[in-house]
Amino acid sequence: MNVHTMALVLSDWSYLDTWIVAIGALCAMACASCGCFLVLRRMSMMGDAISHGVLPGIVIAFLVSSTRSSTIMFIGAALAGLLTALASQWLSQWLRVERSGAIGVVFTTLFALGILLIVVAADSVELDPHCVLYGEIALAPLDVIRVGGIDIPRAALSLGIVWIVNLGICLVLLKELRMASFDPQFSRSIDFKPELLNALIMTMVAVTTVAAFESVGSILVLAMLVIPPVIARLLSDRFTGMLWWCMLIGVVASIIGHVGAITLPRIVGYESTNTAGMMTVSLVVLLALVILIAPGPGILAQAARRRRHRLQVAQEDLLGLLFRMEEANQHQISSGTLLARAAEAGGHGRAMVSRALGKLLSTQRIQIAPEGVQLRESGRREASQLVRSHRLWERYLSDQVGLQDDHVHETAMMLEHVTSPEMQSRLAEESSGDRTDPHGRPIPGSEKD
Amino acid sequence: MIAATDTLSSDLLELLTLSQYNTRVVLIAVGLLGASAGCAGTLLLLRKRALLSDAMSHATLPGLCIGFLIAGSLGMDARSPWVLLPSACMTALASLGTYLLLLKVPRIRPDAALAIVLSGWFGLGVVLLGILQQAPNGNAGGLDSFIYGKAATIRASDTWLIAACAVLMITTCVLLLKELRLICFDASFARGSGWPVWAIDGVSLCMVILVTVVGLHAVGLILVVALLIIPPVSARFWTHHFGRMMLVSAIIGFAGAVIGGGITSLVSNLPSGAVIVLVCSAIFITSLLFGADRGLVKSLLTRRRSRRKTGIDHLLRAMYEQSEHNKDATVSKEFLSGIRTWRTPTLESIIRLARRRGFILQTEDELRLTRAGLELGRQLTRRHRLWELYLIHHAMIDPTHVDRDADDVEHFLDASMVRRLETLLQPGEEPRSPHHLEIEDPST
Repeated sequence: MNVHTMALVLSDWSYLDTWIVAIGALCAMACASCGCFLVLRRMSMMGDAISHGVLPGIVIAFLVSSTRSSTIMFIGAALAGLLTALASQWLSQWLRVERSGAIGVVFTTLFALGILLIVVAADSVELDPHCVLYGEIALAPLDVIRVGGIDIPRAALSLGIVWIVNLGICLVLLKELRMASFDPQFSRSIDFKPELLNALIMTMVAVTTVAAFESVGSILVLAMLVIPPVIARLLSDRFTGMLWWCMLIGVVASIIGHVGAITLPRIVGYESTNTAGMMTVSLVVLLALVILIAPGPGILAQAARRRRHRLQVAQEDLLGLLFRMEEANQHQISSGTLLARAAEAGGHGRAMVSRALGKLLSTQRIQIAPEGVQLRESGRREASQLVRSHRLWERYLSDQVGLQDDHVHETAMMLEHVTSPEMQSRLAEESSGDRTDPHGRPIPGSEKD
Repeated sequence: MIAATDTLSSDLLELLTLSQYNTRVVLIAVGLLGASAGCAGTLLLLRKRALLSDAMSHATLPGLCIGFLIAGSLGMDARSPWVLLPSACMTALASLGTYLLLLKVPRIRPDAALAIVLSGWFGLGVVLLGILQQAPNGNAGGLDSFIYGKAATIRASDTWLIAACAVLMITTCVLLLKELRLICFDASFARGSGWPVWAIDGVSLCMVILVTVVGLHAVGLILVVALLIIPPVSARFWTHHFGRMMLVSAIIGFAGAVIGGGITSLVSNLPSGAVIVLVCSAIFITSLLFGADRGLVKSLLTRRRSRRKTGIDHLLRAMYEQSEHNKDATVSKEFLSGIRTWRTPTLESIIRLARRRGFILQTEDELRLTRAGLELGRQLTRRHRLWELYLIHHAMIDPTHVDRDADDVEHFLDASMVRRLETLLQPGEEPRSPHHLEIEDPST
């Protein structure tokens, strides 16, 4: 496939495609706004259980009302969802069934019941098991309701309402939900019932699942519930921040998902594929991307932090080494020997110490004179403070901690890099005026001297 | 109507005598499957990983689709289990790998990782399924039986596959019983004593994947997890012994699968997966109610028995303490309801029970102890006061606080405990009971 065919496919874009994207985005946003709580409260699999468990509720509501009346369906599903949540909680609390086992028993039973009901009552229920599992987002724009002179797909309307209600609940109960999500023990201690809030969240999840399942099916709804909040959690530390990220991710995933669904299969010569499935795949791809590049916990950011830290340590080790050699009046050392000795003493790689050397040269802390590598004034000042920290630690470890004198060097090697000036002056007080380290070498004066 | 009943009963007869070759094949296959799922599920449940199997079973969907596409393009029979099952295994394993990787990412909790793995792999499967439906080698109808489960489509060759897997798995379970038990109950101890925990874990997870993949045919990929979860959870209500639990779980899985399979072969057009799961659920509810180890009825009975014993004990002690002052004292109900917080109906039922057991006699509103009641009352009072003394002198608890605690403990002090308390406290030489009542010497 080439860009040309892709453009051709996209030039066929109609208002139906726009509606599909809109429904997908509304679905992801509605799900994510209550999914945040599932993720934060470590109950993600409860979302899976509820989305399976609402099925018999939906079917029974169909059988009772024999219409696709949304109200009855929502009530039936909300009841079934609550039943799933409560039954698994009772099983694990009162009958001591292991928690994930309890969830598994309840939702598989309810789901099996739902499937059986669909098959048995196939004549009176126009529910297709395929639609239940995978959703039919492509057909959703065809089922329209006229609102104020504009044809709006029923799915878009119900998902939009659910999204706004969910968001409204989140914003109104922000303080309570946040407290119950982050610290249930505390909220119980001030007599605030987290159980009630729990029931509210479970109801929200159940209702949202019902609104979503016609579009994305009862299993992929889990992706919409869980993956956007997980991505948002990687990008934000704040609850409101998470909520807004979820919205953005929902929209982006929906666009990528639909465009992918109608273009990608053409690479291998097919027409198009399920948009909901492709939305899930694009959510996973977004997640993988965020895991890679997220500023704080991302893999790249972590690797960069570790690398920066190692470079810093290598630079400081080089400075310390040069300072000690000056002390011993060994002024003639070639950069090669220096690098080898630093690599061996600090356990650094050769590449790392050469980079550290380059960094020291470019920041004018050392210079390479004809007779060898030498400290410049700023480097010497820094080095003397490092060696001071090192020897103060050795003194402290030997005198106060009671380590053997030949065991203190390694520990001091690690601690010297993380010793702040305040810490240093406290250590100096502890050493009670002793001006040498346990090996008899002088402790350099502090910066003020 | 009569004709219909006749055909049904002749069908039932056919089913029960296993006279039809097809039914026989199907029932043997699902039965073996149920039994091996029961074994593997026990390991999952005890390692608290029941929902991991849910994620892995959903992850078989893309595997099935890939297998279907590959087989189709190679010109093989695209529905042959020899192509579909290995590729389903591959994606199930891959989903396990993704789960383990996600666990390493900061801020992603295990539950969210599981949900991501489940929905992500299933989403990929849905995408592939959407493509497959346009594949030139016919529709993906054959895959439906793997998704919803159609036990009726199991052929004799499939039975051999299922039987081989079941035998393999049950042998592994029996051979590795000790090791599996070890990691189920104390994985860190096992690691500490040098057992290769990851290898044993790997074996048990491989068994789970094998059951999942083989079970697709009979119960479908969404509900196969029920065969892994429901039997062991039910078995836990019957026993707490590892080996027995595995056995009971295997039996429940076998029974559920065979009964469910039987029902679907009797009534046409039922989804076998759902029926098998619902039969298992019925067994689960039965176990929950009547299980011999943790069943609801049993624990309610135990609770009632201990509540009755406590009530009678308290009654007898209260009456005995009265008779200490006056040998032939009778006690009125009003007095009794005054000294404890008994409601009238509770007190009435306790009195009735005590009378039936021959501990007290009732004349009008007055109660008196029989000889047996007097003896039991004395023992109880003695235990009560011994425990009070122990709390005062050895646990350093204030005398005003010991009565309630002794109330709870007096029912469970057996003879050996009483002897130890006597040696420890030597009640003869000890000061008087905190409430200024004497301890009776049992010998008098």
